[in-house]
Amino acid sequence: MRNWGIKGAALSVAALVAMLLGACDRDDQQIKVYRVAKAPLEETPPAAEASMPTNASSPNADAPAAPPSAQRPQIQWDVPSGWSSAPASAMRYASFAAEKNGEKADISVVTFPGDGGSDADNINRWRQQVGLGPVDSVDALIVPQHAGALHFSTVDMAGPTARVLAGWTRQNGRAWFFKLTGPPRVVEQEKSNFAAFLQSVHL
Amino acid sequence: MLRKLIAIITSLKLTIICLVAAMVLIFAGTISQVHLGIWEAQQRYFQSFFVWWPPEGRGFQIPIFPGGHLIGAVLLVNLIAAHAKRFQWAWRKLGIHLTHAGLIIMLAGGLFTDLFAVESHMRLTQGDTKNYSEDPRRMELAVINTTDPELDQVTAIPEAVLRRGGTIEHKSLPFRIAVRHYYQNSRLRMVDEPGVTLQPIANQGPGAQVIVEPVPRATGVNDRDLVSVALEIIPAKSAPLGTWLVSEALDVPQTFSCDGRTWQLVMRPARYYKPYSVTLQKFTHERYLGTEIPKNFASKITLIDPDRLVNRNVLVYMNHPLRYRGETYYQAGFEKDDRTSILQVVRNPSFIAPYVACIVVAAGLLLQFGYHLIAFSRRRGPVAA
Repeated sequence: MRNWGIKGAALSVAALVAMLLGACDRDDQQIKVYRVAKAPLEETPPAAEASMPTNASSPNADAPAAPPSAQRPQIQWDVPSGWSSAPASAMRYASFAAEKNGEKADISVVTFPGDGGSDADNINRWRQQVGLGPVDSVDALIVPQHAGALHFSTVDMAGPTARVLAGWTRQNGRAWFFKLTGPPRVVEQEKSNFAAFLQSVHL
Repeated sequence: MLRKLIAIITSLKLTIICLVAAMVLIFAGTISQVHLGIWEAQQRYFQSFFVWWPPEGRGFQIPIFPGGHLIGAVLLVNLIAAHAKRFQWAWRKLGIHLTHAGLIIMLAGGLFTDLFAVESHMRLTQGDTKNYSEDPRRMELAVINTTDPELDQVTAIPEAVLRRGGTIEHKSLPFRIAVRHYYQNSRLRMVDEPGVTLQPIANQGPGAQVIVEPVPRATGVNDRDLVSVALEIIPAKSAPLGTWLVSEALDVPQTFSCDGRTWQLVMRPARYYKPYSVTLQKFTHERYLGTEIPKNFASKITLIDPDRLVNRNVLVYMNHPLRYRGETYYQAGFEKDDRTSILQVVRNPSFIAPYVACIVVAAGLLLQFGYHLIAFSRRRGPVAA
């Protein structure tokens, strides 16, 4: 009888210690290192209210729209037909999506006070996003484009699986970046729409 | 001494103390959900070994009450030890032994689920392929070496490590990362917005034009904290490169060079990579005719696992999850365009425990009551006509 008690106690304490040790080695406390294939262009997940759990009773109830901010910098443009508005995240002024044959392109409008970083840094960052290596001189890649009184710098860069068209302008101490990214085929189809979009911008 | 210890861990008093402590804990944890929200209350009261005071901050903390894990573990030890001490083998007691074994499996399974189960989400728009799921409740700082044209080397630093502050060193990084500011929940604003008086806490990247305002913790079921952290990058052999702000709200990549290599800083939901990929072919949202009442949600996915030569289509819909490589994919949600499906991905090594426990307990009770019923009817003898 006494042996059983000691065995039982030892077994129980051993089980508890094992659990405590296991708990101390939890994944969420460990720094992990891994190698992964280059990430494809990823879109920003929409805000939580845009998604619905499948056990919700009224999945079509519209989430309340964010009130327009009176403090936002003023800009106007014409959205090409075929582009749909996508939820803007905190650091995006606006987002659109264009879809052709099941492929999706992401159009973003981002603005920063100041110059928004050097052209070389920005272009090399976009090159990385589409799987291209950095270049020392970016001057040869930049094509100027005029839209009314605005002067845009534009680039068109295609990687193995993705292509980016970007246009940017600096006005009144603020930089505006317009970017179209996606699979090469849909970007090619949307190229004229993107050019028209830049032409329609008024600051 | 040993005898005294055995007497304590096998005593019924300990069982009662644990049950009372569990009741107090459940009451306090439920009340605290008002201020903490369900997620944080679960973490602090039930999924911990101790309830700590004060709960916030990095300074001195003392445990003020046993947490759910500790109470469960002590109850489990108590049950095993008490049963082992009083164990006497006899066929007529098989029912009692089985019932106790079932309870032990149930308790141990619950504890193991809490300790080791991982829940995450996979959000797929039609045509998307992913080989990872994300935990939207847990953030990580991904420091990515993008120099290699084929592969990225990712060093994923969990939010819990950032929260501790101090300086982070890792053999995969040729620099140290000093946590200068940590905000559990925050709001970002452009520095040139009217009414902004704070100064940016970063001097590199877009964070240099953004100010961070601390805001109270999110407590709603669907609300999430916006974690923002200011990090100083300190190379081993040269002066600090500057301070960057990382936050999920900053969706522009932040790049810098160090040691002849190109690095990116990204704050993102913690990722769990898989040795296989999932592609969403089609999401279906059916409604009852003439109404908006949902009838069915289904995701047709393609599962590709090169290691196991698997390439097959699977339909995941309500109550019909996909189980693969120890993970279960449930249809959990969708987005309003009806093209994006959200799958819940659950890895629970002890998911079978409740099923086994129920069967064992049911068998034990049947045996025990059956034995008594037979004995009773034998004693009573035949009923007189």
